[in-house]
Amino acid sequence: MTDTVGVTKRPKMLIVDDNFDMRDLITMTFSSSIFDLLEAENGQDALKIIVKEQPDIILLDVMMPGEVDGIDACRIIKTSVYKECCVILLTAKGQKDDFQKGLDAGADAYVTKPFSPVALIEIVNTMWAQKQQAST
Amino acid sequence: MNNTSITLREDAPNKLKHYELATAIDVKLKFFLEQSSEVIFTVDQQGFITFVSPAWSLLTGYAFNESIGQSIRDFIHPDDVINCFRLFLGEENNCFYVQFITKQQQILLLGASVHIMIEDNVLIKFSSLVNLTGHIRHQEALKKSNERFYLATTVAIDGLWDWNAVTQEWYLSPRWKEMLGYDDDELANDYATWHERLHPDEAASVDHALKSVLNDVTKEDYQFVHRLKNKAGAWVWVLCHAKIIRDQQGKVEHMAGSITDISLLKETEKQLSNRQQELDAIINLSPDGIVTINHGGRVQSVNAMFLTFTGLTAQDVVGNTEAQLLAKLKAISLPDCPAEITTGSVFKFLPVPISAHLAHQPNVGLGKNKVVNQLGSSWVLKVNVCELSTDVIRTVMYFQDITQEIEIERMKYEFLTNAAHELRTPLSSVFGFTELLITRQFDSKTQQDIFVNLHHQAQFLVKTLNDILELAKIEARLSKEFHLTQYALGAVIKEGIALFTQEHSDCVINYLATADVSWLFIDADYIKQALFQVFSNALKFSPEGSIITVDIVGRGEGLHEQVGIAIKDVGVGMTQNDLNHIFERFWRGSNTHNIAGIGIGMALVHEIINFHRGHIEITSEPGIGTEVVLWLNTDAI
Repeated sequence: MTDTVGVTKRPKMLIVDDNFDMRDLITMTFSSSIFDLLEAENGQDALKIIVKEQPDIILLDVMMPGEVDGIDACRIIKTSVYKECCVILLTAKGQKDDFQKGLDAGADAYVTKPFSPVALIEIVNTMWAQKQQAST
Repeated sequence: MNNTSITLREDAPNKLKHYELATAIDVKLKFFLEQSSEVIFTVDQQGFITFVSPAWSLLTGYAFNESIGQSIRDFIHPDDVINCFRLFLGEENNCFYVQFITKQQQILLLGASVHIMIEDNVLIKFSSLVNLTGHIRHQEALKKSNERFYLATTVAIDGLWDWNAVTQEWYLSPRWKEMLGYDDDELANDYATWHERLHPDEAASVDHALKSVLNDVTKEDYQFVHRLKNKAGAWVWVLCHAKIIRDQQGKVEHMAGSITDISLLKETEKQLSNRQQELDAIINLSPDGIVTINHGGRVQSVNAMFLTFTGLTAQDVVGNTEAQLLAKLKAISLPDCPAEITTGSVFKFLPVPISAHLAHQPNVGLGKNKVVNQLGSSWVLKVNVCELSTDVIRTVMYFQDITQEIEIERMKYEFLTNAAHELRTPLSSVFGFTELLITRQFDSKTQQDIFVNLHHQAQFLVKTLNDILELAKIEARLSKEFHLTQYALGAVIKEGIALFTQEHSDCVINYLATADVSWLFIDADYIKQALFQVFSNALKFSPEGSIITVDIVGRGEGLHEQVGIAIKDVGVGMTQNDLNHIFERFWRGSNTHNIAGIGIGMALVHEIINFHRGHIEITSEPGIGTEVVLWLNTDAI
């Protein structure tokens, strides 16, 4: 997290969740990964960080307070110049229509809480590998 | 007139004397004959007319020269000829009726007189005729009228009375007396008979009305409803109707009228009125809004509940067509107003503020954020239209309040989804961290941190569960769990403070109110619980060691009097956006950062205060602090 842009060229992961414990858990999950970790606690802050840091992967909570929730943020990202970035929606909601809403907003994956950190790492790694392959 | 002198039998020796006499009275006689409406005429022994006065022509229509020399017989109606012709020829005084036939072939009834005078052995004879036609008719009419009057006074349903103001004579018909249970001879025909029997409640007003009618020269009749005491001592309701006859100066000459027994009418009226009141009470107590439509398609009546729902007044809607009514409902309805009022239509209205004056309270100063929760959300009314086959009302519209049903449905759904969400978040931590503990090696410090976190999450789950149950209980409107009793508000607040500081020994709460003036109907336990929630919010969002203050505030007067509990902190404060969401369950402020809590607290307070028919006002400024006022109506419930 302390690395400066352009020096190591490590990929960046943005974790967006209003709950401190959730951010803590995800941070710990990816603490020894290849990603530089960034945090935001709501949709608006997340959008600001995206513009500034241009992360490669975003783990996005769906239900967040404020004017921009996870679905909104996902739609904004996927219709912007940052649409190449992978968005994984994380949510407590498990209903079918929420899943569909997420896919409609352009999410690359959808993970429901409670989630397995091991499985999440798996999903992120697979997605990252595919992205690497596609760009080379 | 050449024959002005009375025609005399020829009698030579007296001729001169008579001539002189005749000349002497000639002027007087001429005047008399010309002016009199009585016909004077003479006939000879054979009945031929020898003289007629000018009135003859007026009476019979025949001119002077058409009559002289004609037989009187020719003028008499055939029915009377035999009797009367003889009488006209006779030589004795006589008075008789005779029917004459005029030139216009009219039959006249005349009074005839034959006058005989013998003076100086000379027989003087003349006849006179008086028209009695009108007089006889009048007599006959009078006779009939008398018969009718007799029938009316004895047989009629109404009692009749008559007062001659000139002679002060009173007449009360037998029926009048019978109506009060008396025989005709039992009561005197006088003023006292009537006046003594007036009901004391009405005597003064009857007297007053009568007096003013008599004094008002424009009044020709008079009507009054009053009671009269009957023989048995019971009261009979009567309608008294009178006609007044005045002289040219307007002075009352005569007054006559009738009394009608309206006891049955009065009794029916009373029953109807009672029934009406009963129905009105039922209709107005109805929890449904009721609108009736008459056969003209216009609003006939609306009940109190309909007016409460819509905030309209009876004047606004009574007399409206259905289209006008719909337009008025549309004007106050939320956007998705139905296109017609029919069974199954659902109208939504914003509720009228409990005390409208609150809306005009001066707002807090600039830079401060404020929110006032209203009681409940919108009214949701479901319409049921019933067509009737009565004469008066064609349609009845019931506006059933389904706000609560809808709200409960909504809350149930919201509650379940939110509860699921909120339980999943700590569960996610437990699930995720334990998996990490199992699959990874951590140094003992990190491991310890994770265990502390896990324990914290477990604690949090317990608290969440309790809060959810509490909220569910209130939201299910288990109102039997509320026990409203009169309490001294100050004492309740002090107990609330003690309860809170017992658990949070680090917290300092200053109670500022000096006098305890407010006795309110409240559920003390729930009020304490609401205070507990507000205190814990204040504590959570304030820097350590800061002081929370509590005060009792008041405003309004009489029915609108309100008492508020004001809780003030010097914590992080809130933005307007935060305030807009504050009563939503599971919502947390933007600057709550790492403060534990799930956002049930204010929703719980909201429910408790709502139940007390009060409301919450929150004023806040980020970085300065927050003031929460729990307003309670002094006439709560």
